[in-house]
Amino acid sequence: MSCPSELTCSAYVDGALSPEEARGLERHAGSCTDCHTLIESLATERTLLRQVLQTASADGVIPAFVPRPTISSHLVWLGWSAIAIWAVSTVWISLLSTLTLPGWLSWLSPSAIGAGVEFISAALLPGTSAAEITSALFSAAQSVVVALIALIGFGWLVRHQPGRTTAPLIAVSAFSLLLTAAPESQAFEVRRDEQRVVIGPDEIINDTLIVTADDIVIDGKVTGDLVVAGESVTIRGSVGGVVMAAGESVRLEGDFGGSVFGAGELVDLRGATLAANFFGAGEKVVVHDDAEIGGNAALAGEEVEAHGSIAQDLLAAGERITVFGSVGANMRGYGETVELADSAAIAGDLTLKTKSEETAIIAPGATVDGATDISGWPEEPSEYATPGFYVGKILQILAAFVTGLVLFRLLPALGQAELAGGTEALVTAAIGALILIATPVLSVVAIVTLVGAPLGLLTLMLWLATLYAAGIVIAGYIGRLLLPNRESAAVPLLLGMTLLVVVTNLPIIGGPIQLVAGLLGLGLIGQWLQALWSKRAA
Amino acid sequence: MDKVAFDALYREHYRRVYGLCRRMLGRTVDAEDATQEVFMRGYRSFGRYRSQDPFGPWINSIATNYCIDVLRGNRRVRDLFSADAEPDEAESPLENGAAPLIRAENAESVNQAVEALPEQYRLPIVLAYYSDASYDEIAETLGITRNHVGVLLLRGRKKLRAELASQISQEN
Repeated sequence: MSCPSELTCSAYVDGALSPEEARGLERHAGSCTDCHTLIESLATERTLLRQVLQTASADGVIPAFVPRPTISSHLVWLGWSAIAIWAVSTVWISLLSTLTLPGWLSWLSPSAIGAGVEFISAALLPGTSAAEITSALFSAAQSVVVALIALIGFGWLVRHQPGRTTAPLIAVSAFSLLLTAAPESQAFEVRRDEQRVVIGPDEIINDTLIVTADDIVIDGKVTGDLVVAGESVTIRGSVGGVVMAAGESVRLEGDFGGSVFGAGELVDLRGATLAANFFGAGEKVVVHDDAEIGGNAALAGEEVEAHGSIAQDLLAAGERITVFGSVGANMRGYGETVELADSAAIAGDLTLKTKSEETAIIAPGATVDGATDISGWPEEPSEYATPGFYVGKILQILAAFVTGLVLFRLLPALGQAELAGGTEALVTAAIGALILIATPVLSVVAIVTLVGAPLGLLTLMLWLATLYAAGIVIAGYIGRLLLPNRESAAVPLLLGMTLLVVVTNLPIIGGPIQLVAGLLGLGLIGQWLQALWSKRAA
Repeated sequence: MDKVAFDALYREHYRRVYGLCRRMLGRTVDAEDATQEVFMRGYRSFGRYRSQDPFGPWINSIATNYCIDVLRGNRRVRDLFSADAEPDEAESPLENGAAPLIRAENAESVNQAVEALPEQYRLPIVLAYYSDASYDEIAETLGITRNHVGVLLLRGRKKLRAELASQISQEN
């Protein structure tokens, strides 16, 4: 027998040869000194290598084992929270609205939200009652929560039924769940130019049209919605859907099938016919006498002039409001001075709140068919004087505290977020400002145009939740600054939160402090997300 | 889940798992983090662990798979071994009869030399001589053939010898 290879000897030493092979090798080695020596050396080396490798380095302490919450336990937490929110809101709405609460608890009643919503309802959707809006808001919120529960369920499935095909399948079904909840979305067309975009009189656009340019002129016909933003916006053609126009000057002179939203330094409605509502906001908002509004009008500006005819309600707010034209139903005016000229005719009630009763001027020729109610600014009692204010604040702190504990348990990194000094803090604040401003803009764009309302609504709600979390994160940070080296997060968090609520409620400086704290908190969350993202990418 | 029971097992097996992670991952990855992650994974699937089986091999296999995952990164683990290294001059034959270069006294430098080996040699060596895995087990873990395991072990040890020899000649 010739000498076996070194590989065979090595495998023999490692005990990896079959019994017959091993016996053959042993027979050979018994008569071959070279092979015998090689095997001996390999065996010694093997023993020593094992010994050396297995000598556990006994030095160093064993760090404590702190189990992280697992993704499934995150999901379970989230799921239970979502269900709890859903249950509480349902009970709250259905039960509390039927109970009569004592005065100092009145803020708990859903109608308290209703009062806040009333202004929104009056401004955005005249003719809709606050109760309708409240219930619409809640059903929207609840549908988001239901979608969330569904997504968590899907997440749980992905986690516990892993497989290459399950994940995409579930992602697709989750997405389609969102889409089926979405209203029918239209195709859209985007026109962009640095200087000028003109839609000529012969042009017909059968989709939603989005235009951005310095100078925008729309003479043609748009059958879908129209979203325009530019320095100077002029719409002379006809638009079938909703119009949202923003610019330094917004001139609306065409025929509009849907509601029209105009915002700019000057919002000018001349010779226009609107089938639905008109919302104008700007330094100066003018409805000329040849303009006809088929629905309600909500006008807000430093200077508001209404010459034309408004078929339904008029809500006007501003420093100087003058009405020359006719209003088909009620008019409500809030301003320093409100004037009804001789030619003004209000078919319904007139409600005016002005600086003082003297600054509400009704010319002798003006007619009001319904009741007239004129009052000065109400004297607000100081909110600091009511016990409900303090009870409310304490409950607010407790709610935020509980939320904070849950948040820090779910995302421990947020509970340890550190604010760097100097320019780094400015960067953090800048990130916060970006989140603060960009997110709602993107959500509104999503709601109006792109993927449909649910996604935008979801983003908006996430944004609101993030704003809330920002306060908690910064409160936690402040608490840890004041009480360093605490094992539990609870006491510092409670301290930071109390301090933050007290300071932000101080007159005058409270607002700015709240803004800065909010920006920093948002920035910390943003940086955490960024770190999470880059870690995942790496 | 019994955190107390798991904690006791954690203390008992920490150093062993830490050693495995350190040797498998080499110098590039923080072994302490990896060990925590291994026990975290163990903690999560502790419900599937049958208490009559020994804990050591169980957590060991979690650690092995985790380390391979880390090393693999975006590559498939087979790729670690696809480039069948050419034998090069750095390989040093065993000096028959000479005193072995590996000695208990220079355990530290041997461990360092192992950690510095290329992954394709380091992994089989650690699995064979630290975890006492058989050729078949190593082949299955790394997704290579049994024969390939033998070749890699042989070459790995040669590289180790060469490295230790150059260290010794530098010292002199």
